[in-house]
Amino acid sequence: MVKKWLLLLFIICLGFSAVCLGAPAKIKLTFWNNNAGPERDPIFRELIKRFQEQNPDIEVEYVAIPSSAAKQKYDVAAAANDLPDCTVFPQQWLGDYATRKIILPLDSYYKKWSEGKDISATCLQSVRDSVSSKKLYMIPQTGTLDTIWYRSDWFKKANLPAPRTWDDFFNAVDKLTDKANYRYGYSIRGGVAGSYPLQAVLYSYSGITSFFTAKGKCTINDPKHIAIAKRYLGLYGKYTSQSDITAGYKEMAAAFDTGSTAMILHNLGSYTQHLQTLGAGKFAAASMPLSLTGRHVLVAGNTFSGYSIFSTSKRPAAAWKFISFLASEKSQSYWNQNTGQMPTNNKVLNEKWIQDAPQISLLASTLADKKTILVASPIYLPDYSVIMDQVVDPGIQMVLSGKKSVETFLNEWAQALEKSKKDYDTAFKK
Amino acid sequence: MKNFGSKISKFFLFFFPLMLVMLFVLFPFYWTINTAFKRESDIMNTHIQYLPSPWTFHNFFNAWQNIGFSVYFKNSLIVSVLSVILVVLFSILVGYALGRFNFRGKKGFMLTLLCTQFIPHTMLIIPFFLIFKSLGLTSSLWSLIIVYTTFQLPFNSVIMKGFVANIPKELEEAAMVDGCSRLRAIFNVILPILLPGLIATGSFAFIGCWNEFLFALILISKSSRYTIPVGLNFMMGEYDINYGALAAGSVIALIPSVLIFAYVQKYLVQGLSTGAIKG
Amino acid sequence: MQSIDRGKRNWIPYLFIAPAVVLILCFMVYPVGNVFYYSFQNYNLSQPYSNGFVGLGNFIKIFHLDSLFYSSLGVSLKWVIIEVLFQLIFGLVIALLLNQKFKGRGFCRAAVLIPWAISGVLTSMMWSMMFNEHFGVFNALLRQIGLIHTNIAWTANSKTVLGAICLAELWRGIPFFAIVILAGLQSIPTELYESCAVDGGGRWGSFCNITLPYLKETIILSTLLRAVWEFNSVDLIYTMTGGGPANATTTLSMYIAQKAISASNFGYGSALVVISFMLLLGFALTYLQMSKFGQEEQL
Repeated sequence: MVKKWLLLLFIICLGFSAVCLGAPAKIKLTFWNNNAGPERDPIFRELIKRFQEQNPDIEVEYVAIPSSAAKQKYDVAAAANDLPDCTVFPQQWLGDYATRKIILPLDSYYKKWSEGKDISATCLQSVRDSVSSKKLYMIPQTGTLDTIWYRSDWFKKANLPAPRTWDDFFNAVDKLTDKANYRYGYSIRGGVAGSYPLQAVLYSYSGITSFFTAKGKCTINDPKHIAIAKRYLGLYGKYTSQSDITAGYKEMAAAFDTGSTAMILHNLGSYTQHLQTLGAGKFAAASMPLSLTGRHVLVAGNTFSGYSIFSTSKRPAAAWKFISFLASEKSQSYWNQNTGQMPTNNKVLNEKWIQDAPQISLLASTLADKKTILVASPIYLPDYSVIMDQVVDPGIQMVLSGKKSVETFLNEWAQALEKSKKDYDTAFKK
Repeated sequence: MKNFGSKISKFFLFFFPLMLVMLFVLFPFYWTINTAFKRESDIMNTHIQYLPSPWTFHNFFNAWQNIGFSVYFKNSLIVSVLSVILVVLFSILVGYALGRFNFRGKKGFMLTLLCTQFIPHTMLIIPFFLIFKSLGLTSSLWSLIIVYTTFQLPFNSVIMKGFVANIPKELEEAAMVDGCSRLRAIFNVILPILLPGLIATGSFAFIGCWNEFLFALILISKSSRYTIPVGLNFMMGEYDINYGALAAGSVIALIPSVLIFAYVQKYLVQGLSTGAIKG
Repeated sequence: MQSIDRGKRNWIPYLFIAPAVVLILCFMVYPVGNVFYYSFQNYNLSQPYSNGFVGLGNFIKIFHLDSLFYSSLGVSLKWVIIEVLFQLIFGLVIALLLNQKFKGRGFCRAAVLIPWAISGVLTSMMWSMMFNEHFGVFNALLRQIGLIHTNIAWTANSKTVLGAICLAELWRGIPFFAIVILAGLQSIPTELYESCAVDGGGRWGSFCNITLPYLKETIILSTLLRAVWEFNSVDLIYTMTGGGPANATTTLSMYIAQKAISASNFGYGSALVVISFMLLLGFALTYLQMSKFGQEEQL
């Protein structure tokens, strides 16, 4: 019996010693990546290597986190005050984390940063807009604008123009659907996170530029939105495959990459995946079609991802040194070129490889276009993503399966946002 | 004539159902292995290939080297083996206490063991994290070992109780009369008889530990201490889902389980039948 | 079961269960106490400004306003009954088959066991790959045989989705019953069958009169455990359908996971857990009582 207790004691001691031993002479930083995988890990490891060569006094520990349960891991660590020093994560977590004071405002660091002026002003503004205080909580490093991926070879064969307007879009969907051969014109994301592309469709069609009117009424259930939602979601079953109702990213990408569908709405991030499976020359990217007002209207909020410092970090200065290195021209160029995404640094946007990547230069020029409007989605509402997951995602499935009308669905969505905004305003403006 | 009839009936009552069962059981494995040797562009294809053409080992290389399965494999092995040892050790003690004694609180204890099975593990994550933080064990493999031991212990204890109860108590009484202490009697008499049962519960516990994902991800914040299920999840990223490497990783993850079952299957049946799962 | 030496060294059993008790107290009872505590709180990570004690508020909301709670309970019931029933039937059939003597029995036994060794994530990936509407092997096979003419979206059609995920879970769950029942079969003395054959009982007769009664205890305990495990099992549904389409596969446990994980609403999630805990406790006690389990043994 004594043995057993000794064993237990031994176990506990070992655990402690594992933690306590090895006092660091260097400054040690921990960096988390919320969307790790075999493609992005080597890129970060290379950048860390470069950083440590320049800064021999700092050692960075890289922690890869699979995206499937990343938010949960961050939330648990936050609840236990056990977050790392800095991280890369998506813009849509910002509002929540800033309200909870989990991350640090970076304005004072940014002001002193020599390369700060190179970061695109549009990107910075979008990141500021995601927080109610309009402070800068994240240095954006890459953008993944909503993109329509289409099979350029099919379009050519059918003599169709690239989808520039919504009429082009619906026309192509109709022409390219060939059910007998299991080809569909489009694939709707009806499953996990289908709410975000739908939101992008609504505003880019109507051209409405804000989620709330001055009186606090939500614009989600605007008549123009009801019209487009009926037309867009009405594609289901007729021009899309039946499985779209539960399609998340992987199912949607599979439909496109197996040659079952002519178009999907995703973002730049899936470029390498399509390239690997379809091969070059068979697909191309288009920006969201022009709105009724004749401009490109893009919903921003889950557009960028970038670097932040957690407020529990004991070494914020060193952490800033590291993340400003990651956001710098050279690192951004390396990172975005290898992932096929759009950098946020103006100097990088003018590099030669961008010209050779038509999908990036197209979106970059759309973004740089003076007529383009970015609609800030209300991600400063702490339960915004909860509403998207719990109200909108199931709502889409209800509409697709014919259990709910588009009107009821959009009204419920609008009401949820209005209530959330009211709660938020009363909690913070007093 | 009669012989022929019995052959027919044997075919329909035995071989045919057996074939169906084996088909149902083995088909997903065939498909996973098939996928693991295909190129990504052949997997994502409406033209279905029943055998890879061309064959590629790239997925295995990718999983083992680039994604770091060599490290995850080692961690998984350490965690699972140590947990199994603890589970078996503790469950023998509990099984013996429950199978040989009547004591106050026995009923309550048994009910508690049952109740532990009622709780969805997702709800335990935050309390667990706080406990291990205060013990200074976050990111230590020991935290996983403790968690897995706790999770596996109740079920294994109940099984072990059945085993012990089925061993005639005269055997150890005889040994104790010979001057052995109770502990010696347990080690010399009970343990050898229990061996098949130990193998059965041990392999059950091993599999539970080998496959656990959620706690392995949340409690460990060091890439070098991740286990295999976490590694498998890396292949399901939002932007790079890699079916080939996923299938290859699955095949790698399967190897120990298959080896264990191939080896222990006869002990497993024999072991469980001595206990015949009684309460 | 009687103790060997009652009264004398009564501390022995306590000593033996001590390590287990310590572990269970620290890592089960304490965290579960936490869950009960939170069920009376508004504890929502994404709305820190409204957190605090709410008494029975969460429970009232669940019972009065939450229609998804009732529908998820219905799905859970369907899920558990289908799973346990079919796993039991198929497990029993497989056990009877594998109890025969034939060449390659060792291989077959090992093969039947292996699905048990596969994690939920893996099972769901394997099956969703095979079920996929576009590149899935099922549609291709069924089309070749001529059973279907158009591809079916197995995990998206509200008519087929429950069947599809049940099949995958069945695949993973059968081995448990097969092995446990097989072990039970082996503990039946062969003389019983011989005497039954002498009495003129056929195959069916010996199955009903000897096999089933002998397996009773095994079946009761394994179905009980399985029912509880299936009730709590989320991993497969989570990755294969996410509870959809339109909540057609949202079981109570899935709903809890959604509340606690995606919505980080731990207060509400905890209240749901407390309810599900009570339901399971009630179920287990009734089941044990009704089946007269362990009566001869004086638990």
